[in-house]
Formats: sequence, structure tokens, C-alpha cells
Amino acid sequence: MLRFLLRRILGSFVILVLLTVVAFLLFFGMPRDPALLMCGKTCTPDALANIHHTLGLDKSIPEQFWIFLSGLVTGRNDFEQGPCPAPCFGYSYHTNEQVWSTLMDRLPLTLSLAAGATVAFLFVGLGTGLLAAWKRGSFVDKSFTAGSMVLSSMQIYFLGPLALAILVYQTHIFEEPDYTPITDNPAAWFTGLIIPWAVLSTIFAAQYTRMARSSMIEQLQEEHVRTARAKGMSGRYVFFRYAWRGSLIPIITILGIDLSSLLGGAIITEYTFGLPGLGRLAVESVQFSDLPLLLGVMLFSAAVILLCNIVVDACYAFIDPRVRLS
Amino acid sequence: MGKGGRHAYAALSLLAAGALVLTGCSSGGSKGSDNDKQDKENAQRQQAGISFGDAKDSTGPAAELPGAKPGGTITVLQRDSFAHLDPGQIYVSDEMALSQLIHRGLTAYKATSDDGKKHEVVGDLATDSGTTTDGGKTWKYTLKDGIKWADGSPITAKDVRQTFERLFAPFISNGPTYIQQWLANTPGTEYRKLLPDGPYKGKHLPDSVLETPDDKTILFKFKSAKPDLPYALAMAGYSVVSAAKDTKVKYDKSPMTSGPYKISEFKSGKTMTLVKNTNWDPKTDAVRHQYVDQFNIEFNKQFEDSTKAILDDSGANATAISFSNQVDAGNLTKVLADAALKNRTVSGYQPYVGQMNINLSQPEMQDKTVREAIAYALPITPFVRAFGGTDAMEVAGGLISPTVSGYDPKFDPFGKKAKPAGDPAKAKELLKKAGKTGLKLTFGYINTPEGQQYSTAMAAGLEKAGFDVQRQEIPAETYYDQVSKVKNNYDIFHTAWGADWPSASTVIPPLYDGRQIQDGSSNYSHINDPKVNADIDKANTITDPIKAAEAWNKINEYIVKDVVSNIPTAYYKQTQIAGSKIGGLAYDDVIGGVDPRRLFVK
Amino acid sequence: MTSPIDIEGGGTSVVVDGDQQPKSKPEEAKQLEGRSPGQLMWIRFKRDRTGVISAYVVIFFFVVGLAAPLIAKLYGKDPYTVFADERPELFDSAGVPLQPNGGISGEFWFGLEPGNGYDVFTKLLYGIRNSLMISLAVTVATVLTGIVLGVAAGYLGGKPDQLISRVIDFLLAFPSQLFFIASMPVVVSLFVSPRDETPVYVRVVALIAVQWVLGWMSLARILRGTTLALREREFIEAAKVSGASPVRIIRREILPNVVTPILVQSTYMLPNFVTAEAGLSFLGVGIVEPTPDWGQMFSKASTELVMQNDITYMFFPGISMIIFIVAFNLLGDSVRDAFDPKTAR
Repeated sequence: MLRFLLRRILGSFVILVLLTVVAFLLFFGMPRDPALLMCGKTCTPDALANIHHTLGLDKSIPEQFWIFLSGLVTGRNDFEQGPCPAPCFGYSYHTNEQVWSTLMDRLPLTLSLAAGATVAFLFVGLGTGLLAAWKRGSFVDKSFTAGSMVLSSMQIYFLGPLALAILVYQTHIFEEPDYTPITDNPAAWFTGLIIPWAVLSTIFAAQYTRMARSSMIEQLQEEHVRTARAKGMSGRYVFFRYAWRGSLIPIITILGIDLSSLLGGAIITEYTFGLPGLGRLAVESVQFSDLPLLLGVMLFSAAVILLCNIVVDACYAFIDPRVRLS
Repeated sequence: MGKGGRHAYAALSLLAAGALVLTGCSSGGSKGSDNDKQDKENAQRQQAGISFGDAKDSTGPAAELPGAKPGGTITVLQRDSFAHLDPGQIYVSDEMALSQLIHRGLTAYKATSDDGKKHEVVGDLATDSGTTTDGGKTWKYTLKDGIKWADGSPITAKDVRQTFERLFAPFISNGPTYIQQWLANTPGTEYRKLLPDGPYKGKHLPDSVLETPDDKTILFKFKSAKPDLPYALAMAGYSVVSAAKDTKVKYDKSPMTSGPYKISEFKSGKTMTLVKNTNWDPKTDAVRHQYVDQFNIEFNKQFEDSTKAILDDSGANATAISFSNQVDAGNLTKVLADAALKNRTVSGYQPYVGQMNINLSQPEMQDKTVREAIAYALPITPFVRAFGGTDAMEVAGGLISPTVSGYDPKFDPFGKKAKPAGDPAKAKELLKKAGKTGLKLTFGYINTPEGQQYSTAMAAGLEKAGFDVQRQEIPAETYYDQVSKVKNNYDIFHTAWGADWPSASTVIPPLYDGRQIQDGSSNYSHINDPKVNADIDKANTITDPIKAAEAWNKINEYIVKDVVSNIPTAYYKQTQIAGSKIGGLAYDDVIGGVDPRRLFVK
Repeated sequence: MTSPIDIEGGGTSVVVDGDQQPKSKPEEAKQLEGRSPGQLMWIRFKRDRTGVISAYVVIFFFVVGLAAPLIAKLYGKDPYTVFADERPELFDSAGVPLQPNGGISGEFWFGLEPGNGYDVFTKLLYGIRNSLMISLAVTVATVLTGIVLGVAAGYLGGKPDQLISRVIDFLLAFPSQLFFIASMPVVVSLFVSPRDETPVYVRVVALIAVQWVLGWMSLARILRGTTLALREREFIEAAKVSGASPVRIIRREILPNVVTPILVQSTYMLPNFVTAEAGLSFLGVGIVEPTPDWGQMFSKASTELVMQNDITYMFFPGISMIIFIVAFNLLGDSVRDAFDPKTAR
């Protein structure tokens, strides 16, 4: 188990380094010069060269790459804006803020968005899914299945604006989504994020309803469940005690993927609701050709994805002893 | 005041903010309101002209406002965080509004009427608006007694010297460049050669350019007459910088201030708190008040957010305002229709005039008939639509804004006011006559939602007249850099320009002087007409403001009608709103928005 | 560093394949005339009413997409006419249709788009057409890549397998949406000529390319697992012993046996590509105005102009896309069931 984890973590590091390479290459392929953006209205070739120099853009790409990598580990002191402790992603070209602190600044929103939505969609999704499986074939089952089919086909970029248009613009029931840190004002935090949560969990929950239902039904046909039933255990006991556990595996797999996509920055969601989280930061970094920020967001998102994968795999081992971690 | 960097960034931060959904710019559906009449009246009052005040006019304190009382806290809801606080880097209208409260310069605009429509230029830190004995070549300023920085140290001529010398340093790249160019007597960015490192490596401007014989006296010495210096010195970008506390690049985040308020806390992108500066002496200041105890500025408030909060008018919202946010287009109709709400609004023109540039360097564009065909065919309605309709944009006839002296509402050579959707039939005829039907026209457009929307519809309108329009997107962030390159491949592209002070001398020369054509210059259409150049030189020496305005307007009319290098599109308008407990509310035409210096809590 | 998921995923589908054959044999025996598995699948599929209806809906969308120019011609309008300037009496100065419900009338069946006033009906037709074409191209490209790399990895094993598996692991760790956004301008800039408009095809090619690069891994992974298991089976051994070349073995023995996962997977992939493509255009990095596109219509629908004044507009792209995705997913389920009747639903 430990060896497995170690190997996965090591592998993840290799992937992260490769990803940095790709991000570097992408950035230098971009058809714009970040220095031109910073140079402002009264730009001269000299000033431009000067900015290139201060940004380190006049060095060769491998050299820049090496400086970046070593900065991540040891921190850097060569910035005009001040020192940059490890993990040093440098200073944003556009805002002149430290990338790491910008990331940490945007993270709470993304975390709040993901956490609230996850709680809601797991609760609703698993609940309806189990109910549907329990009442298999009934009207409840059929309406849940049909409903989840339609809802899971909805896209954030449709449901989001629709919810905004109806709840905010037309009926004025809710405020425009807005982020207030939970430490400042829990009530405002909650009301500000309720529409994004509702939209996200509507779309995601539907998927879990379907998944929970089908994997539960599958589990009920498995041998260990049938054995338990044959031994005379009550249907309810078997359902909640045996089958339920087994049905978690596929759900955890999907949850791992969903969580990593939510935590790594739900770009479309944050874009739709105008929330300043990691996803929006990602879009900004591309728009402003902001290499340090782009690298920061990319590496952060990828790290979250990899971490989620490892956690999911580790979870298998705990839930299902048959899975051998090789 | 180039619209370039500023609005491009603003538009972009919107876009980047993912606030496409939430922006005010792309909205509308307002079914038209009758605000135009009042706006026009307001703007025309401006044309009376601005005088240069003497020592008496410049002596503080500023006259008390009726009903004003001290105390209270005002909440300010702003869309964009302040990117620059260093005066030398300030050129964006929301930063300029903030600057009114925290920075001071040698001169300032004093509102001489209570509605913020009439002004005179007075001495701010200086005892008067400046004295010249040789028709504007040498200007003398004397500092007032008792002027201090926020830390209590006195403001001296040494600080003023530092203020101007550091503008030549490479890191100052966003502010205005008028005075640098005048001092160096060169156009464009050549001025930097005068003092390449600023004052930081021991070199200084020679006394033949800038002289500070003692702690109180400053002498500007120009090679040619610069009658506009008092105006220029009133720009936020020429506010003073402390020599002792000049931290170069870092000054942009925490500057030394001198105005009635100082920054007590600034969380970039989130909040800023302004508190009273106890070292500011009202007796030294003729233009500012210090009624309010504190300003709490909150950023990231889209137009809808700020409008909604202010409309709500309960609790802290009753004392809320925005320096730069407009009433969002969705609420505009409602607000203007309700008398009680309308009372809480102020509206007026922004200083910008939109125009379609025809790039005269392109071979096919050198045919005047082709240019006339473009002028007739170009529909203006797409532009008005994209920004929210007639409440936000007014179809323009000329290149001079209604807020600038010399504006003539009747001037409209291509009948744009009558036919805002263009006249494709007339254009087709002209094209046929020139034998250029099917001419390829490369249209560079700014890649924002609005830009995409109006450029496609404009292209459709031009195609009806027989052009083959090729639309080329230009990233919003670098839009003005791209179109200001001399060698660009665009035949037509749209830009907007606002006067830096209410004289067309900050519009016509930077945009249409043919001797300025170079990379990065704002002569976007590359017009180089001997008559225009000569007339500019003539107008620049006219000292009577009324006669000067007439001369500038003549040049404007000649460019639009006879050269046909720039097609005026629209005058930008806006409406702003404040909470019911805000007193002293006025739309200041020079600031181009709410005047923050006179606000108080009722 | 192959994670247990793929072993599991690959493993199951092999078991499924293995089960399928013995199961279909008795059926074949019962019905005297011999039937191929394909025919059997077809028979089972035809019995599934949901599947058949879904198939009709999906076909309808493709027909509408293909015939869009013809329909638009009969209807007499195109999606490029700026009606806000052609018929200004129908709009206010901000470009919002004056008539209720987004200006729906006998003349404009689905109303007019706020802003420039494009005809919504033809815009939707062309939008469906363009989005489907792009997604279809992405699907074909990813499926082909998935087959080649997946089967190669599974059959060859050893070094090539390791290499391909590593690449898959690497690409799966990509934050894909972020990658799309960052790489679209780069890919577009590779093609753009200085004087002309960025041609629509460049954007299309770029969209296909970036989605293709990050789209093929899941199918390749599944095929790798399936092939890996097939390689050990007797009939492959037999073919090897009889001296068949690897190419022949792959073509004649392996490929026919992986048709099922390929078909099932691609029916699931296509709608995903449709929504992903629309998402990119929604974010403004895909297809842009005036080229009609499903996602671009959503981006218009999310403007305040529409949300405040003309909520009707957003239902046309919204509902049509839901119908399409639901139908395609149901079709996918039916295809899977038809191939593999054992799976519980």
C-alpha cells in the first residue's frame, strides 16, 4: 500500500514536470507579447526590451524553465517586487501580485463552490438513486430515472443563465451570485453561492441518481448479496449493509473525477456566474498572456486532478478488499 | 486622454472576469428616454469656456456647500480595482476620480457653479494658475504656505522637480506625456532621451528647462509657447510625488499623498479605505472639501451590483455611490422614469468620441471617392446597439465632443443623424463611379463581445454597398498597440478618444497632425494633410479660448468633410446614481462623472 | 503506473465480450438459419422502442444539420442578415425585438436574436449543422487514434505498451478545459494570414485538433485492456501458430472483436464532444459571431441583454440541445444493451 502510494506520487511529479514543459511551450507559441501589455501607452523599443529583461523573457526558454523549476523548490529573491518564498511561481505579469498568494486568494471561493455543490449533489443524487433502486420498477423509479436523464443532459451554460434570468433578472427573488468569505459573514456566503450550488448540483446530482441506481441494482445481483439474503437477512438489512458498500466503487470513481474538475477550477461555472475563483483566474491568465499565473493555475489544477486520482485508488482498497493495489 | 489602454483594460477585465453575463455594456432594451435634451443643455453650458484664476480664486478654503455637514461614511462601489496609485501612472478615469481625493497638483479645476458645469483653472498647491510674461514660453509657479504631505513634512519645489523628472524614467509608462514632450520639445516618445534614467542616477533636468531657484518657486521653460500649461498641470497624472518617499516602482502600491484623504488600507481587487488626512489644511485648498470621515471603497461591483445596492437604499446603501460605475442599462429606463429615483441620478457625456479610422497608408484607401463611399455606407446603429442603445451612445456628426468648446450640433456632412443605418445606395453609386465595386476592405475589430457584435453588423452594412469586407479580430488587450502601428494591414478600424481638457487642442493635434505619424502615435488614420498641419500650428498659438475653439472646429469640419479620413460614430453618455443620504451630488464635466470632492452625508 | 481502474475497466469489458459469444451461440442454434452477431444485435435493437425513437431523433438532427441550407432557402432567410438594420421598426435602439417573446411571428418563426437581430430559426439550423460537423470530425479522429494506439499497446505489449500507457496517464492529468483555452489562440495563430479574415475553417480545424489531442485516451485505454485480454485467447494463439502476420491478426482477429466497445464508446463520446465544443464557443474561444454555432448562441443567451429582456431566446438553443443529448444518450444505452443484453439497466 505504502509502496503503491509512493510510486503514484512519484509518477505524479514526473507528470507535473512534463505539464510545465507543455505550458511553457504553449505560452511561447501564443501570438502575443506579454511585455507589450505591460509597456502601456508610451511604449518604446527600449522600454519593451527593458520589460523583457525584467521579466526574464530575454533568456532562452530552457534557461527560463530551469529558473522556474528551481524557484519552486528554493524560492527566489531576484524580483523587483520583493522576495518570493518557495513554492515560488513568481509574480503575475499583469497584477504584480505573487502568484502563489493569488492562488491562495482565489482558492476559498473554488473550495466553497465545490464543497457546497458536492454536499448537495451527493445527498440528493445518492438519495434519489437509492430510493429508485429500492422501489425498482415503481412510478417513483421511472420518474426519477427519466428526470435524471433530462437533467444530466443540461449544461451549465444553459441552466446557469436560465437560473440567473428567472431568479435574478425577471423575478428578483435572489441576488446576483457573489462571494463573501464564510469567516466574514456566513449568511452572505450562503446566499451568495446558492444559485451556483443549485445549478451545479442539479446537473451533477442527476448523474449520481443514475449511477447509484444502476450500481445498486447490479450489486443486488452479486453473489455475496444473494448469499446474505439466502441466509435469511432482511431485505432492508442486506440493502443498506451489503449492497450499498459495493455500489460505492463506481460512484467514488466518478466523484473523484467530478471533484478534481470542480477543485481545479470550474471554468464555465465561474465564468457564467462571474465568480472570481481559480477557473476565472485561468481564463484571465490566458487573456493577459500571464505566464507565471498560467503555470500556477495549470500546475495547481493538474495537482488536484492527480491527487484526486490517488485518493480514489486508495479508497478502493478500503472499500473493496478484492482490489489489489499493484 | 487616449481611450486606448484604459478602456481596453476595463473591457477586458470585464471579459476576463467572466462577467459577460453581468456587464452593463452589453445590455439594453431600454425603450428610450428623454434625457438627451438636458444632457445637451448641460454640455453646451460648458462651451462658455474656462478662465485661468488668479491668487484670489486660488485661495482656500473652498466655499461651503449649502446644507453640507461634516461626518459620516460613504461606501463607494467600483467595478475595477485601482491598478495604479502612482500619479505618474494614472490615466484611467476611475483612478483619476480617486486622485481627486488623495493627490494634489500645481493647478486644479474649480467648479464655479453648483452643478459642476462651469469651471476655472486655479492654483492648487501653487498660489495661482500660473503666470507667464512671454506668451506662454516661461511659466512661473509659487507654492502656497502650509502645504504638507500626509506625514506632516512640507511640500517643496524639490518634490515638484522630482515629480517631473521621474516621468522620464522607464518605469513610468501609463501616464500623460504632454508636459514631458513640451519640456523636451519633441513629439512621440523621444522625450525620454532628455533624462533616460529619471532623477535616480544623479542627473537632473537643466535649469534651462525646469528651474527651482528656491523651495517655493518652479519655472517651466519651453521652446515654444504652451498656453495650455495650466490645464495640463491639473491632470491627475501631474500630481506631485514626494522626493523623500519616492520608492520608484513600489510607489504605485503605496504612494505618499497630499489630498484631504489618505489610504489607510488597500487590498487590491477587494477594498480600499480612505480616512481623513489631518495634515491637509483646508485653508490651502480652494477646490476640495473634507466633509466625510471615511470612504469605504469596494471593488468588483459590476454596474448591476452597484445600481441594485444603491436602489435598495437601506442601511449603508443609503450613503453609497460609485465614482465610475454607471446605472446599468437594464435599470436605466426604470430609474429615469421614476421622478424620485431620477432625483438621485446625475447624467452627462463622457469625454469620448468614437470614430472609424480609414487607414490612408493603404493604397486602395487613397481614393477619396472610396472613402466617401465608406462614410456613406457605414451603419452607426450597430455601434449604438452594442453599447445599450441611445441612452448610452448618441450618433455623432463631428469629431469634437459636446463637452468640448467649439462643438456644433448641426454639423453632419454624411447625414448620419438622419440615416444612422447608413446609405448603401449612395455608397454603391460612388463605388461604381470609382470603378471599385467589390473592393476588399480589411476591418480590424476589437475582440470583445461588443466589438464582435457591432463589427459583424457594420461589415454587413458595408457589404450591401458593394465592399468585400474582411473582418480581422485583434485581441482586446493589445488592440490599441496593434492599430497604432504604422504598418498595420487594416483598412478601417474603430477607436475612441476623449479630450484631456475641455479644449480641442487635446483632440485635433494628437489625432490628426501628420507630422506625428509613428509607431504608437494616436494618428490612427495616418492623415497627413498640409492644410490640417498648418491650421493646427496656427490654432495652437491662439490665446483667446473662444477664437481657438472656432479654429479647432474648422479643422474638425475640414477633416470629416473634405479629407474623409475619420468617420465620427458616437458620443459616449452615462448616468450615475447615489444613495438618498448623499449630499453634494453633481456630474462634473471635466472629471466626466460624479465629483467626489464635494460629497457629504445628509 | 497503470491504476487499478483501467485493469478493472479493461477486464470487465473482456469478460463481457467473452460472455457474449457462448450466450449468443444457443440462440443461433435455436433459430435454424445462421445469424451473425451483427444481425442479432440489429434484431435486439429493433425490439427496443426507446432506442428506435431515440435513433429517429438523432437522425432527425443530422438530417436537419445536413439540409440546413435547403431548409433556409425554402424558408427564405439566412442566418447572416442583420435584421436590426434591415427592419429597424422591429427593434429598439439597443437591438431588443419590440414584439413580445423575442419577436416570434409568422415571418420569423423562432423570433429574432437580440443585438444584431439575426433570424433565430436559420441560425439554430446552421448552428446545429456546424456543431455536429465539428463533433463528428472529432469523434472520427479520436476513435481512429484510440483504435490505433489502444490496439497497438494491447497487442504489442512491452515497451510500446508502456510508452502509450504513460502518454495516456499524462494526458489524462491535463486540466483539459484550461488547455483548450490556452491552446486555441496558439493553434489559430499557426494558420492566420495577415490581411484576410481568420477563415472559419481555421477555427474549426483548431477546435477539432485540440479536442482530438485530449479526447482519444479513454477509448484507447479500454481497447488496450480488451486487446490485452484477447491476445491470450486460444484463437489468437492459433492464428499466431499458423504463421499469420501481426497485421493480419489485428485486422482479422482482434478488430472484429473490439467493435462493440468502439461503437458503444463512440455513441457516448459524440454528445460529449458536442457539449465540449459548445462550451468553448460559449467561453468565446471557439466559433465566433457571425458564424452560427450552438455554443455561440448560448454565449449570446448569457448576455444581460437576453437575460433581462428576451428570455425566450435562450430556450431555442437550450431545449434543442437537451433533446439531442438525451436522445443520443438513450441511443447509446440501447446500442450497449443490444450488443450486450446481460448488462442490467
